[in-house]
Amino acid sequence: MKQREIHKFPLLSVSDVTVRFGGITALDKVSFEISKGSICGLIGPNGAGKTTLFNCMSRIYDPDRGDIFFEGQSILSLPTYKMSSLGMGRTFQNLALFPTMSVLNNVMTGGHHYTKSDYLSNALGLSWARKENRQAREAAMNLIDYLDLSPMMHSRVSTLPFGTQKRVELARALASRPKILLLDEPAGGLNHDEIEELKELILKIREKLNLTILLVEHHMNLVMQVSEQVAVLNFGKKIADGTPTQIQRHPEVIEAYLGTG
Amino acid sequence: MPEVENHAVHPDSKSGVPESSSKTIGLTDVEWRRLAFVLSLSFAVILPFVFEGFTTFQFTLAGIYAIAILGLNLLSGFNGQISLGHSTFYGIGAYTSAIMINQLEVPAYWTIPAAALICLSFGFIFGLTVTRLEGLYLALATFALAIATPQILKSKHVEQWTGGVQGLDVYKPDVPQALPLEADQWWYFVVLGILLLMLWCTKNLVNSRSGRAMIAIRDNPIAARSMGINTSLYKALTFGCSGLYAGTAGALSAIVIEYVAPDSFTFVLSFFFLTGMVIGGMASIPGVIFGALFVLFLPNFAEDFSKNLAYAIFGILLIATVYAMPSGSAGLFSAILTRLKQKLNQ
Repeated sequence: MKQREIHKFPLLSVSDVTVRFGGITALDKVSFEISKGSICGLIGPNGAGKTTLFNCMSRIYDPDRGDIFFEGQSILSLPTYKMSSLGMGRTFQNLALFPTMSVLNNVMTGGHHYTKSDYLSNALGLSWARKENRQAREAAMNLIDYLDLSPMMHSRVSTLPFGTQKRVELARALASRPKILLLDEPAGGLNHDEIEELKELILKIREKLNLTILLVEHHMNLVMQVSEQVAVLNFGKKIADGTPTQIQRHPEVIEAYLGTG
Repeated sequence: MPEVENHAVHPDSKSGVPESSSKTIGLTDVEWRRLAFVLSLSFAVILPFVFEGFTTFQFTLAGIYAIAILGLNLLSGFNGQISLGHSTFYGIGAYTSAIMINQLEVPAYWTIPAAALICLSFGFIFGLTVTRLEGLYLALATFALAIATPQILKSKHVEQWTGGVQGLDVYKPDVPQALPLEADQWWYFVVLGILLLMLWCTKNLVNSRSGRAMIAIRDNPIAARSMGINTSLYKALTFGCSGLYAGTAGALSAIVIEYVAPDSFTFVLSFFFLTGMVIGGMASIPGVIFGALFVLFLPNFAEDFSKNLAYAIFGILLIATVYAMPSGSAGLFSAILTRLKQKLNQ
């Protein structure tokens, strides 16, 4: 991999975030930073708190303590729907598409925050609203084309295979023109060849769209191959944070994954 | 919830073939749809000249119901918010129109947009207050509206405006002199015109950014929020729009029937709208016309059959209909069309 210039400036920083569900501490004072332009892997055994952390970053959960900063500003006072216009795009572990909509409409919905047409202009079919709709459609079709979804563009997403739906979700996230992309287990349910393609794709979209990517993934090879930085969670605590090579040698990580035997 | 027919998806989308490429006897799907529209419209235009006055009047009422059901479908079919309170919006629309005509002597035509705007505001405010309620809880909250309405209209505090139990008489304006039409025929065309306008607006709306947001909220509210949709605002706006439709329908009914009374706006009316929507097809725009005709004419038909058991017969017919077309008329028609196409293309 060619050496990238990674900015010093952290795009996203998580500071002392604690989340409790009843008596369970899902995240315990987790802190880390993601530099602009980097790909950061977030790994850990099942139930380590990875998705919880994701949900805090995209404002679906409120942390009990700590703070999260995006481009230097705390996001915790913002409502969920502002995350998208702030530049945070995401996919979901178990897919959260709009099942009755076509692929095209799902992807077009990704562009909601930067389009402006209101109920009245849309109902009356005013020309500026129609024009905006056409532009949104073109932008969506470009992404659909880029992710090889064109043949099923008009299909209802619920009729598509799981792997294809995952690509639709990625296209929808990209349609919101994010600065940072949070991918929650993008390789889940994919076969070996598909994972290879996904690896290429992640690297390709980062270059092309100038993205920062946070990747939650169980597939260790994928994470180690694409990430510049890897953070490891175990039982809600961050146990390691560093380059892939450092992480692979880290005694606590080895212990968490292989057990103390 | 029944299978939702979504207009944003092409009917033959499972094959993934864009509709323009497949032709049936020389016409594309879009052309077939246009042809069906032109034929239905011609039929609708000829109708008041073929049938007698009372039948025309009944079709006028069906048109009014179709507008109300369209509003309900926007809210429940496209946005996933169940309402049992649309009799209230319909009633507010009717009373707004009646009070303005009867007591303020406002020209009848002006009371229609006034009723629409009042119901828009009321719907928006109500929608904002119930934004956190979903499913059955929302159904209960809206049901509360519906059961409260007739009594509120009768109450002493508003009696001087609403006419209490007696209700209010309304005088409908004369047919414009230049037109050689009977009153029934003229009002049929007024309602038809407004219905067409609202069908067109709804079609535009559901295929736009706003419509995608509405459907996204129905399909997956958390994902909708993550995509930048202010779900509370959109739900309230959709409620307001839906109220606008029901209010327009209510105002038209007051003028056409020339009378409003509290007991015309009980929760039973809400259930008729709901029935019309489900029978027509959830999230189907042309389906609302079928649904409106169904709820208007089927009770009459049942009554012709047996006066004492009219509702029992209506009930049986309702069950039979739901059984025959589990996804509403829209689902049935598209299934028939798909079959026909396969046959014809062989």
